[in-house]
Amino acid sequence: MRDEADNINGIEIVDTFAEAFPMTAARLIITAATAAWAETAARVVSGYATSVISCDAEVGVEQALHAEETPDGRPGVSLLVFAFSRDALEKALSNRVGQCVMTCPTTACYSGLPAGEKAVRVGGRLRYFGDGWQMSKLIDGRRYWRVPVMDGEFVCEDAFGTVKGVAGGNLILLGRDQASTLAATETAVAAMREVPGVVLPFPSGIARSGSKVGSKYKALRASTNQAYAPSLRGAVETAIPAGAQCGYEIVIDGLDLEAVERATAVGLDAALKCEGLVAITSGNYGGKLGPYHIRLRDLRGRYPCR
Amino acid sequence: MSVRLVWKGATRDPVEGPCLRPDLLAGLNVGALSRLRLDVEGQDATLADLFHVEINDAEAYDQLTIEGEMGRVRGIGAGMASGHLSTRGVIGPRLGFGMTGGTIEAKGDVGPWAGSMMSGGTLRIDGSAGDHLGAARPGERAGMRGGTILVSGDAGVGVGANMRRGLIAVAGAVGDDAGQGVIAGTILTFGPLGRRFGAGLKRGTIAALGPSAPSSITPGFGLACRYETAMLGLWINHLIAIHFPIPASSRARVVERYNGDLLEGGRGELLIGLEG
Repeated sequence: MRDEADNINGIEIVDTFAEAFPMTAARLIITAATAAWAETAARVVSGYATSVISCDAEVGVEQALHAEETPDGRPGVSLLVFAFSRDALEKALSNRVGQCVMTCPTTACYSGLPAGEKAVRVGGRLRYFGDGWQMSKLIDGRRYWRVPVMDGEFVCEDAFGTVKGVAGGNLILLGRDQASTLAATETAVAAMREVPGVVLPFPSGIARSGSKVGSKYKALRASTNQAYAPSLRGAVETAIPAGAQCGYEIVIDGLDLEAVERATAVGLDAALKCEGLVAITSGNYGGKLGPYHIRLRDLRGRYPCR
Repeated sequence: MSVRLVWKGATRDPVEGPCLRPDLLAGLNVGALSRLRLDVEGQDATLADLFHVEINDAEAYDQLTIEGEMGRVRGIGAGMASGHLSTRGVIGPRLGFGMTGGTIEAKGDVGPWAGSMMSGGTLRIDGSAGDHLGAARPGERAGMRGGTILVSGDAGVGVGANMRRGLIAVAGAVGDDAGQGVIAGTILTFGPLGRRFGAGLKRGTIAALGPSAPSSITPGFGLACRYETAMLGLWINHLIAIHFPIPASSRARVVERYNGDLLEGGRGELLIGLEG
């Protein structure tokens, strides 16, 4: 029997859970002479980084930083980067910072997490671009590399701290039509972006191509989740409730489980106030993929929103 | 254990005080402390002959406070490896000489060779320092090998000579020959800088960030460019975080960079702060 609390404003909260899994995470702080250039670097470094299904990392902007919040006193942006292992993260970070931040005018790049034993080297790899003219400075136990470039020098911290983060949290919003479902999803994303410690790595935080593991084609690691494709209703067993014609997914990666849960709760709460939604659900793999199960119906009690 | 020593002024002769370090005195009772031997111009004296000895606060550990006008007491805190040493009043030569760790906070002027040959820890001088601050001992190829020296007042000649690693920051004026023969490391100055700074610089950084530029650049250095560097912000923010008194007029972001000493390979840099 359905509880009233699980059907709010005519929107059903499906009795299911999001299945999240551990990934290695780092926080980048990019600064620049102006907020606009820091934002440019952040946008470029987080390009082609939606899903590790086919990208080397999942990357998203966490928040803009005022000058007084950054290590060098310039405006900046913090980003979170997720990969399956420390080795993969180190490679992805080196490539992305090297190609997208070092190349961007006036920027510098620092770790937003304390280094320690589980650090990966970024500046320590990129320094070789200096071709012998690089120099390093040690400040308060942290090493910074200075690589000469055409507008002066690129400053990059030697080692970036990592943590075991939580990736793959998700919300699926199902609505009456494309416009209202997208508007509701945008509202949820806007609210979730205010939660620290999480990023939403898909385009503007939203994915339309919900996937399942595997495919009938051997070469593919993932393929469309036909149960959520409204155009296949009637042809396959569908997960889309009656009255819904469209779905969007918000994927959440965070530095810890609490951050992912909190963001999910905030997104859920924001979506429940929107017109046009029929149901809100989450994707999972029956509990076989990840150890973190975020039950939607439990969240609103645990993270009450205003 | 917290130990407080108050100088009696019982002698005008030079006193060797390398045993005056918190890590050596930790755990000693008043009796043992009082019997400690110090050298006074070749003669033995006990700590109690020269200082009033107090032990305070049984819970605190590794803290030593020394008070009085001790301009003839040498080597206080020399070789210190840990703990916290506070001094009040004028201190003689070689404060914190060769220290490897811990913190020294000196309120008052200190004599020459403070922080010389240190390799770790923090030496904070709330006053002025004499000559050869953080410099190499004569005959040593490399001087300071790590740690931080912060001076809120002025410093004499020969600051950081042959320094190999570490940070020296001086808020006031710095005498001639600063950073001579520096192998690596960083010297940041925020007041007038004397002549011939950086002569023989191999690597490392000497930054003159005061409101007025030095009157001349040492021969052997060539102007590279004028630019903004994030590095300056990192240094400034670090100094602010550790409560170093940076003059507001010195927070420039734009620097003129000179590479040199070209006679030593040209891998070092002089950064001259300009109003941003």
